[in-house]
Amino acid sequence: MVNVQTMRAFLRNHYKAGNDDTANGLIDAGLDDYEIFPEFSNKDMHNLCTAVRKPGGQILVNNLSQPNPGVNVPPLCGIRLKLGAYAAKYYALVGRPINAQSMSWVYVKHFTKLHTLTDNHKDPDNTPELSK
Amino acid sequence: MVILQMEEHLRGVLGVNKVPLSYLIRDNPEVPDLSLNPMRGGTTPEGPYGTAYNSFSGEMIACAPHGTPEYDEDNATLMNILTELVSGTHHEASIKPYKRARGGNGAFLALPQHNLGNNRFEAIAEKAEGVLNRMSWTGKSARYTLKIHLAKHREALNDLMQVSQNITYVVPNPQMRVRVFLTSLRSTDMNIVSARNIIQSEPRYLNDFEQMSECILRVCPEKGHLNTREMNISALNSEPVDQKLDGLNDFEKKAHKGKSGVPLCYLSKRTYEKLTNAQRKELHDWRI
Repeated sequence: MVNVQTMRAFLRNHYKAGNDDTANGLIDAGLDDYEIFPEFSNKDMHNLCTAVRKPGGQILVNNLSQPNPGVNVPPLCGIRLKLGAYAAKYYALVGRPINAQSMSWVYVKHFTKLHTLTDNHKDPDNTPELSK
Repeated sequence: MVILQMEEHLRGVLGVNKVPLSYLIRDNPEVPDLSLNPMRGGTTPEGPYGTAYNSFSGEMIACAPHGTPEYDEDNATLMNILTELVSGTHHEASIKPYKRARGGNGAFLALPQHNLGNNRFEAIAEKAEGVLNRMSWTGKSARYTLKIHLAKHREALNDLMQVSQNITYVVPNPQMRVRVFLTSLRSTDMNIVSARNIIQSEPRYLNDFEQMSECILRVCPEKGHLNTREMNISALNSEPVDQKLDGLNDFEKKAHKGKSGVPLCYLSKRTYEKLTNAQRKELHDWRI
């Protein structure tokens, strides 16, 4: 389990999580470990960011119940988190460790190429022919 | 070598996890220890894959695990591809035992085992050796160009390398390859002779077939055929227009003709009237 402070610094430094409130919001929503990343799909990560921005419900401020205002999650943070989840899935597939180094942005940014290639991929139409 | 084509084809087909399906048929089903294969990437412009691989897909093919639910799905997909491939051929019997279990991997391995035994590889080796040792290039054929001759040699060596991976066979080394090719050049064209001299004097050409082929194509650019081609003309016949006779019957056409073109046989009155004086005289002399 990763220390909360370490995770907060990690999200701020590598995933542009803005300030401590944003990082804390993401950690509270479930991003509290590097190894949790592969469990999120693209849509899950989108939903997580949306939930942190607009959690809904009420909170107590000075003993007064108020609508929960949520925290700001920058769009760039959302984009990077989605790519991070994609990279983590790749690491899990090939058996690489998912840690602070492999999940750092200098490594994760390279996965845009793979993501684009996979999205644009088309299977070949014709199979090779065998002589009768 | 449809098996090789299939391997290439499967590299282009992605499975459930977006891994090229060729991971199903890799030589070693075990996942390699990635601690021995550090990740590149970071500040370098390359991707974060192991130093032993040259692409994401290369690493995925080598490292995607076997025996997972995704593997089973991909295996079934491979089985579908193979079923389509061998449909209507005698190879169908080879994959039949694997159909029920949708075991594409086993079916793929069974195909070469059943159809590419040692005899088959020996036949491929023999054919390739025939190309290397017996085919020569004279430069006289407009269709069989130097480029095609080079491609034939390249293809033959690829076949031999494939053979060596399956049966015990020693592939010619690069120097041998170049020498065999130079021996196959039977042209006396000056460009070819000078190219051969250049190649024989430069070790880098003698040790590398591709560099040698580049050199020889540069010195002797590809063209229809070399200018040294000579033509032998056996005969030239011409006949003065006024001596041609029209309206001959079949018998007259088949008859032996004289110097003036007159058929030396009985002629009908209508044909005789068309003859020139010279022809009439020749015909008259022939009759006497």
